[in-house]
Amino acid sequence: MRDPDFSAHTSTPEPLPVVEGGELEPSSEADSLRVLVSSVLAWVMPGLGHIANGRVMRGIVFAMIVLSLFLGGILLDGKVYRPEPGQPLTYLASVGAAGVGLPYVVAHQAGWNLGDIRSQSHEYGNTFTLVAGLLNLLIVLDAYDVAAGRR
Amino acid sequence: MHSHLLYMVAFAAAVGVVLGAMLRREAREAVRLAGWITLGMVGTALVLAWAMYFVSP
Repeated sequence: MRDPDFSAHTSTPEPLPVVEGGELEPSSEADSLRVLVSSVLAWVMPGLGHIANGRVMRGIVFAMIVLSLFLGGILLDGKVYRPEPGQPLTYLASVGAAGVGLPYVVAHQAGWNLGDIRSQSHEYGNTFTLVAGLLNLLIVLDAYDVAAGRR
Repeated sequence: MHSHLLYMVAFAAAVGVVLGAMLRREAREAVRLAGWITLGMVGTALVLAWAMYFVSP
């Protein structure tokens, strides 16, 4: 399968279609359902949104990096944040960590979310799990743009 | 055994690769940007760490 990403042949990207007012014109092939499904897939499993849109290599790279970061955070005794009453910042952190999608749910169901505060690498682990979710939220936005024909 | 430097480099590399792949279409450009982001993050952290040495109590 040809991957339109990481091509050595396209030296200059094609210009985006622009309408008056500077707004991007949606591609005629862009289907709102496809855009929605791609975005949801990208959130549920990192990289899946790009793979569904034919950006296989890019999707595999995203999946490997985000899942490695998330799993590495758990192995470093980091916690996977969940909302805790009376701790407002945990709500914010939970939104970030939940950005990783299905692995977030699996980690909580399997009991891997607690971490070990006594571990030297606890804070590193917290950062890894949190940033894995935040990176995947960026990847979801990128998958949205890819599905909408903007990239 | 915990290596703080290794964790920092791994973290910077992961962020660099994702941002590089997201912001550049060509593989070579993506790798180059990922390298610069990784080097920038690690270098900045090391410089800040040494700077804090001079302002430590």
